[in-house]
Amino acid sequence: MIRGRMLGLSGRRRPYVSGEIAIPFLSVEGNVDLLVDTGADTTLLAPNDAQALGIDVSRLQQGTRTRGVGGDTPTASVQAMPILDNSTFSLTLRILAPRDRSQQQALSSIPSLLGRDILSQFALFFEERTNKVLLLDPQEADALNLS
Amino acid sequence: MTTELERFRDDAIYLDEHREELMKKYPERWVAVYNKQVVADAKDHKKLIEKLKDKGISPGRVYRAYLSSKEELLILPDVAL
Repeated sequence: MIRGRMLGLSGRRRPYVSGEIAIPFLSVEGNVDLLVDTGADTTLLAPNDAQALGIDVSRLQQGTRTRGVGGDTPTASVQAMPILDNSTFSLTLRILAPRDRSQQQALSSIPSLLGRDILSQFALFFEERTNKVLLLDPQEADALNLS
Repeated sequence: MTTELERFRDDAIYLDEHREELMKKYPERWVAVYNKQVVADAKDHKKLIEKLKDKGISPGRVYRAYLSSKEELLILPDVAL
């Protein structure tokens, strides 16, 4: 089980999971808070988190573009190993790479996202009332006997 | 869970629990929390990173947040094209 929690102002609390991300190719390691986003196809590193980790996106392979409500944004991609609680994953991490200063500004408040490339391996339980955000392993989900 | 990750998560919880008082002290500013203490604040994120580096603190290990009383609606579908 991976445990997250609800964070934010009252009435607008959002589900987050804390993670440690290692990118061996860049010899980079650091901590990131990931917003649980079932609408995100993949896990995504936000520009501010990339900046904090010291990631130079120009050294990375160009990734697929992403489409969100604000339009399309280029990405870079790199192999990464996120650790969430005691679970370690290996995946292609996409990093938002704003094409200019105005897009950088527009994306400055965007959090990093925990997408379905990881979420699909778990059952997601989240309840604002009790501040619970849980990613349940298949055995834990089966034990609930919900069907 | 690693100690670093536990500390980071505790710092996130600390900021959340003290959000109201910190918002009064650092309105419309980025803050960095490490070991349940605000170790830097700045008007923009880039300056915050510079301040952390100047203090010898690794920005990638610090919990960072923008403190604003303004409500912001996030709608974030992310689709790979």
